[in-house]
Amino acid sequence: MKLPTNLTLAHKLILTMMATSSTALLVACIFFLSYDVITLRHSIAEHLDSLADITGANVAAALTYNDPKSADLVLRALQAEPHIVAARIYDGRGRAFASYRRAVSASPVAELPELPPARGRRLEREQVTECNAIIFDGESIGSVYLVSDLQEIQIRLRRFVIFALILMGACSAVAFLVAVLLKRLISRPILDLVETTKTISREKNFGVRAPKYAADELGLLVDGFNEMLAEIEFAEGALRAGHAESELFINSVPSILIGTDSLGYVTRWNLAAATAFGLPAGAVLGKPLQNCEIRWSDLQPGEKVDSWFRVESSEKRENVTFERDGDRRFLGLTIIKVDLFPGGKGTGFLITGADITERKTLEEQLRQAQKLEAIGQLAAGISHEINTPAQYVGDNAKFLQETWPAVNKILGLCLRLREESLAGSVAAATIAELLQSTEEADPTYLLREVPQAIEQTLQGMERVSKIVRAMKEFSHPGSEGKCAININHAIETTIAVARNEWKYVADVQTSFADNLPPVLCLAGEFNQVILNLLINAAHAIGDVVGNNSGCKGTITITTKSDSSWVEVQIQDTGAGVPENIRARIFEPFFTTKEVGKGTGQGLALAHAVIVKKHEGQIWFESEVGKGTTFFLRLPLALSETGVSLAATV
Amino acid sequence: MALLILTAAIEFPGHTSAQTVEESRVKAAYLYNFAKFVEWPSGVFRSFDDPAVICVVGDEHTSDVLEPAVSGKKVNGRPVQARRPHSPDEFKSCHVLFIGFSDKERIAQLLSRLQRSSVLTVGQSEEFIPLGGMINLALKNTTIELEIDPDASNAAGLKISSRLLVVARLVKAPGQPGGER
Repeated sequence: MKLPTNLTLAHKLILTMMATSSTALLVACIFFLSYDVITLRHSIAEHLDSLADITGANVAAALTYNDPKSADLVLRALQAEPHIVAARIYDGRGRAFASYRRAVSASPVAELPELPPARGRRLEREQVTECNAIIFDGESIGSVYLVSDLQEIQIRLRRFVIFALILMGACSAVAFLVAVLLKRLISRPILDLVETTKTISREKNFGVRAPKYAADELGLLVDGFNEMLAEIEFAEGALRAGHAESELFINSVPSILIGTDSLGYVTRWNLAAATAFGLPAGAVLGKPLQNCEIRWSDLQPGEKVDSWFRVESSEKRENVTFERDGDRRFLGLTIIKVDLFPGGKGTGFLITGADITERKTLEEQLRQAQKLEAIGQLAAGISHEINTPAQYVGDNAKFLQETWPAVNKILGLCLRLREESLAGSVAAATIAELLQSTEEADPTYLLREVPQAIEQTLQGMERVSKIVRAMKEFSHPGSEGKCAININHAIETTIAVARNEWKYVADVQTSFADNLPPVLCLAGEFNQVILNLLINAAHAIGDVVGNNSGCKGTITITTKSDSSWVEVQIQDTGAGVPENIRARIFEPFFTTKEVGKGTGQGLALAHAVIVKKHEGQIWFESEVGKGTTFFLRLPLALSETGVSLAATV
Repeated sequence: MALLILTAAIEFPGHTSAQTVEESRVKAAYLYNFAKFVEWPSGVFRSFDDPAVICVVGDEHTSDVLEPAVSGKKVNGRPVQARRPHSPDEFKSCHVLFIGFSDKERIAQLLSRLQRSSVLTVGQSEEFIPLGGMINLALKNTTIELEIDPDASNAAGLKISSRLLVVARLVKAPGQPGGER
């Protein structure tokens, strides 16, 4: 049965009360009716029984003296009993002796059996039959069979139903009136409660309270509701405060914080994100991140923003770039997969990170600074290297300049002597002057020294130009991309450039493989690495031997190759790397040198260049007190991505 | 005996001058049953188990049937005796007396002797009631009809059950008021 659940409470109450009273009444009516019908059937049967006995007694004489007419008369008296439909008397031999059928009968005339039926009473649906023996003076002399219809029951039933209907109608009316009066007791507090909830949801005001009418269960409900409201009011305040606080925190975080659901729809967008992308939260919330108006550029080859939402646990994305106001900006992001609900029911992603454009710029500047630093550091040595030949080039030039007036005078006298001899008269004065000048000029000395001075000048100039060429080669100006270079030559150049850095503390020995294949690399940066390692080696040895002590260490540079790589070893006889810092030496800004002597970028740069830009390897072996060897390995076959990556940086 | 009672109401086919066994049985049953429908005045029976005496005179056939039939039977709790009386005293000791002969003189003589005695007199002749008898078994067609003169029985102090009266034809002795019903 479908209950009318959409009725108002008041109607439900009325319905309930009326249904209850009607049901009770109905059950009572059915009970009484059943009882009445059963008892009536029994009383009809009882009556039939006694009627049969009386009839039997009355026809005893007729039976005894074989007088059917008399028996008929007796049976005809049954007309007084309107519900007797038929009757029959059977004689002692079981033959029909006398019969009776009611002339006018509502029910169909019962069939009278030819032979006497079994003794006793039969309550059938439509009728009740009774067959009794006719006992006369203790002897059975025949039997009487009576059939009674149940019209009486039906009439009574009909009356009863009419009565019951009237009763139920009256009771329903009364019950309705009572219910209408009583429902206010229950419905009014509930309706007020409903009104209160409406007010609350309309005004979002948890300060409203429902009125209480009585101390019954509804009163308790109202109390409970009001208590709940108070708790909600408190909890809502706390929640708002907490939410505001967390919002404040999130917005105060200087890092970019972007929350998304599992499909990448933005759910959180903090102030740092808004600042970094130049997009307010309102412009992106609820949109897929990949569809936001951010001009991503140059992600990793083949990478789409969508792929971020497939990461497991967390991944870092360095160098995410996008364009903003025409500038290229760099982001360092970490994508973290988070379970939004315990039990893994829903996942989302937290993207955190920062705009590292400034850092990138600074790093670039720092790299340039380091380069400059190295060059600056070299400059003194190089100037010294240039200064020495320049000095004696100058000395020799000065010597030649000083020599020149004497030579000039002799040459002038020689010219006059030639003109005079051509004229035929050579003045003795001229000869005397020439002899004197020649004597003064010390020609033996000049003939010996001047060629030497010229030779030394040329040598000096050669050295200067060599150094200048090495410097030029070292810094490789104008060569941005990778090119195949001779590693051995590159190392020699660097050794030459850095000569002033090591020559006072160490000897450099080289052990180059002859058949080294050309290696595709960024020549300038490779040279920088070798320079850094060379200078580090010289410093390491210098720490041991002390500057200008005359006692020198050795730096051994070895190259060798395999089919797939070229290896460079730079070995020093320094103090070695202490155990406790070995893990950190490739970290940026990590240095053991005193302030001003190192920036802590050398080995970090070397690592970056060899590992990231060349997909090579760098490692070292060190023994405290004996020295350190750095190993560089460059692959001969660079991967495509490596080439293109390197080309972009 | 039971057979006799059960067959008491049997119609017997045809009537011949020679009385059939069947007719005798019906008569015997009628006589026996009269004892059930008649109430004798108190004092007739000395005790509650005094036998009810049914006498038959002048109809040997009926006597022959009646005697074995009633042996051991009881009427209203009393044992039943069938007798063939000879002396006037014996007639008076009867409770039911069936007079089988049809000689008017003898009937009148016998009835006059039984005046003031509580004997239910039953006859089987047309003159029996007019002669002062109480019940006559009248042969009509193939059945036996009862004719009763309640005045005669009342005079003798006998009460005949109304139920019996219902099935009988009430007859008045001549000279009596009322006549035939």
